Amino acid sequence: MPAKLIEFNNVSKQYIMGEVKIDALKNVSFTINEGELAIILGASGAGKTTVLNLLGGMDRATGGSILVENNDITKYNESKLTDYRREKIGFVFQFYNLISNLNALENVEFAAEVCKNHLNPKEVMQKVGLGERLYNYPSQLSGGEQQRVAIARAVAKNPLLLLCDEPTGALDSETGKQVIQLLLDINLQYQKTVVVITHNTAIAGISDKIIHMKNGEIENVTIDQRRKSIEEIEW
Amino acid sequence: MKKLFLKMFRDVRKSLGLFVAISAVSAIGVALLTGFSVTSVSMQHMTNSYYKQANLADLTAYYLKIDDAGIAKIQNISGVADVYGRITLKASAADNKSDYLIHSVSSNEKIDVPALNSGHLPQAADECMIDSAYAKANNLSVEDNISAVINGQTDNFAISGIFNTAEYIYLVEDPAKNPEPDHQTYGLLYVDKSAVSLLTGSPGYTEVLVTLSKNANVEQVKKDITNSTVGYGFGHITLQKDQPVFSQLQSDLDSVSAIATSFPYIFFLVSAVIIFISMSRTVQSERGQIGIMKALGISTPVIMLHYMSYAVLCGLAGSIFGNLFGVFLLPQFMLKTYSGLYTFPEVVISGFGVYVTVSTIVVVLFGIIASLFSTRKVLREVPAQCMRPMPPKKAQKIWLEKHTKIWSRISYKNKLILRNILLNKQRAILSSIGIIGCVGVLLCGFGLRESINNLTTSQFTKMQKFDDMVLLKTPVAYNTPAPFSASNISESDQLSVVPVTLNLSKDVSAALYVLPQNNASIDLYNNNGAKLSLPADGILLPYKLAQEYHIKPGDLVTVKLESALYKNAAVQAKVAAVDVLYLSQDIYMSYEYLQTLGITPFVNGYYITLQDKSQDAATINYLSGIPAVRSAISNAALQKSFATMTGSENSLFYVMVIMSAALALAVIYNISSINIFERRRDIATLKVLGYRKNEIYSLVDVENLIITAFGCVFGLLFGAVIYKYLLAIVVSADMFLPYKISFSMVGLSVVFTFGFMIITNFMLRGKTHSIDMVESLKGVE
Repeated sequence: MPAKLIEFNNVSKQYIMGEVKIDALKNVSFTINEGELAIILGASGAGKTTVLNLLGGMDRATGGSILVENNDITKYNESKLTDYRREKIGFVFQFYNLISNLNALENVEFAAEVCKNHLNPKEVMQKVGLGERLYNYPSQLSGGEQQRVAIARAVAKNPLLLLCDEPTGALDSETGKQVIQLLLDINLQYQKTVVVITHNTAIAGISDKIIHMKNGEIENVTIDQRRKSIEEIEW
Repeated sequence: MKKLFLKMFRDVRKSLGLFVAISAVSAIGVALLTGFSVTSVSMQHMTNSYYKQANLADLTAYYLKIDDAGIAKIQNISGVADVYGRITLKASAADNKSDYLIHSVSSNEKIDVPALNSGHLPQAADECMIDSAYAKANNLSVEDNISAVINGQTDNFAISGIFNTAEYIYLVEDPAKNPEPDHQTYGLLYVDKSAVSLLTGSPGYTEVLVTLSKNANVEQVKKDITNSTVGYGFGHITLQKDQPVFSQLQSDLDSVSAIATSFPYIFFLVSAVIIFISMSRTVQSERGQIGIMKALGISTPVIMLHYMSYAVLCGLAGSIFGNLFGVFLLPQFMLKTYSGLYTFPEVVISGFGVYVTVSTIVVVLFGIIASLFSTRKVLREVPAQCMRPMPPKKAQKIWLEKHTKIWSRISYKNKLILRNILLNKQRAILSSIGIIGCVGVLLCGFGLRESINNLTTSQFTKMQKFDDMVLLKTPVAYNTPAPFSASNISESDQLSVVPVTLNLSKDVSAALYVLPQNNASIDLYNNNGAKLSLPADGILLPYKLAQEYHIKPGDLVTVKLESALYKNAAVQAKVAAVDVLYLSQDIYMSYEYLQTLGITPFVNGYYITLQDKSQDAATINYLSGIPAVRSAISNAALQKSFATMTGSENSLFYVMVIMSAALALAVIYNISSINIFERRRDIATLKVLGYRKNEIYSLVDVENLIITAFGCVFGLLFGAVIYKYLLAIVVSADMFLPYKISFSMVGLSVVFTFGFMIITNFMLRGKTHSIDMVESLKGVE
């Protein structure tokens, strides 16, 4: 039985916009185990991004607790949250968010620089298949290549958890598949826990666990015994 | 069109801080331009009409005694328009607290006419009128009584009137020694002719005021007057333009208008820079909208007009506030500082229409040009191109990357900063313009303060080593025993002060100071700071004159002693050395050399050194009480009055520091805000990646640090140039402030600039801090 890495206990998040209160999350509870590739699936407005913001330490819950390695991150102050993002989380954004003034390798090194246990940036770049494009600037790379640099950047930090926000959202299906394959490889080779947030039901089949969300609540959680390989996915 | 204006006003509201900053910088420029110009023009206007009303003498001739027949001779000289003879005396109050300059007046006076404030002209021998400043300082009014000791005889007068006179707009006893007017102790006493002639014994005049007709040849008239009145004990002639009264005021007005025509442009330029940067950004970020406007059929000039109108609005706002300050506050403030020095009627602020118009046009023009340049490129694109996203910036290596050895040692954070600066050179250069202006203005401020401080030390401590200066009522022969003796006086040097005319490439009036070769009172230094001794074979010529008239040691100059005592003798004197003088450009000579030139020396004053300096006041009291002594003043008192006189330079210093702070803050804050706004996605990403607050702040901080350091270098060069210019305009004709850029000036300017930069960085932290991490999840616009 793998160890529990993440535990959401009755987490709620309420935004107050003037007079209006919006419940973005309502008593959400789920767990993700170590080494799992979990997918949080839902249509827009389902509350996926709120989960990502809370899990990524970018925002605070208004109720409940979020345990990561048995530490409640909802109790963290700003500077502890910064440390948490720095050491524990690797982010992959929908729009890559590479620093345009740094080349591919520098982007990876730049992020790795601040972590204690980071991996060798060049090796990680080889791993994502960009060993030949180390010195290219983001503007000289295709979307898929930029996303691979972004994944390398997240992986090089050697985080506890890789958080991916619609990683294929801005890519065509073929490139998207390659990116997902890369995430799978990383999940297996580095034994990293990966959480992917997507509205794309097609990529759901490749995961260990699918958390379905709807209207700020968990609809259901399915646990996949047998992961499909990337070739089997119908985009 | 209407909707476009609506959009513009909404744009202004959206970035109010930026709008305020641009308008404020423009307003400072406008206020300086209008305020200084209006002050100068209004003052000029006032003096012109004041002088005209008084019908000022074009020249004044001095005599031992001249009668009506002599005056008639002058009247007959061709070129002379009007002549008026009067008696002039110096006297002191019976209580010895004040000195008076006495003139005889009459109702038929047509030259140097005093303007009565109240009362009437003195009509009897026991009536007098006094100047308004003296009356005010001593609480005197019409019908009060004052008494004066004239030629050893005490006389009582009833005050019949109080007046102002253009002739003594600047009233000081001895401008070379104490340039600060002291109305408490020095006043004008105008009496009826009958009173003065009675007092002086036989009737006659000592001064003849002369006005010239339009095309008169001044030199010829001077010559004719001299020749036709030799028999009356002719002294000398002074021209109105040479009198310190008029030249000092004129030089003050000239510096004010010179500042008005130079400094404001620094501010206009800086506001144009901010407009350029912010307009470029706005146009970039509104590319899509511009495309839509074009697609909707709005013509390019109309769109351009829309963006230009923002700049025009900034300029107009700046012009309104700046002109309000410039018309209503600044001139009042400056007139108030002048009224400490000069006595003049109320000044009517006039002629501001021109400057309000000019400053508005200039400030708006700078804005229009800036917005033209910034919108040009985007507006040239076709609509379809505009609506597509910006082509990605070409990735290029910066020059530093070619030096891999250096480049590989730089941290990624610093690489990011360096690339951000070097790939946006234009922005970096424009930011540094604010710094350049800031450092430059600071250098001037500190420079001005330092030169005045240095001048004070040099003049009153290093050069004037005497403690007290005594002037005699009547000159005595050289080596006559001094009329005072006190145990506290350790040393006294005989002094002869004579007005002279130097025959250089043109005639230059100066004062000649004759002292014993071995004296303990005055130390003089050359341009290298080496001490000069008073030579036995020549004169010391001031550096400023030597420079201006290209005279070097060994040259011969003609010195004309403008005094009856010395029979107006002209001598050929050798320039032995060049000395550096600050407050007034005088000639120094030894008694020994004067005798070598065949002139019998006289003594009309003493420099005194004291045993116990703490007893200075008592000694001055003692000296003043001696009948033969006209005045006694201490070096400390001279220094103190000089400090008050240079108070206006000191306030100029604070104005400059504030101006420079405004420049640095406005530019760095605005351009950095824009930069932070443009990079908010990067910054949000860094936050998500776990960069700490301080690490993110330092991205902005270090970038500004580098820009500031860069700006400092050029700012110091710029400052060195404008400081030279500033020295030339703030210094009156008689003064000399050496041009020297000292280490402390540079250091203080740089430290202050960095200080302003650090304050700005702290102000910017809020902007960086408020960027939401969620920005990083959004798509590219």
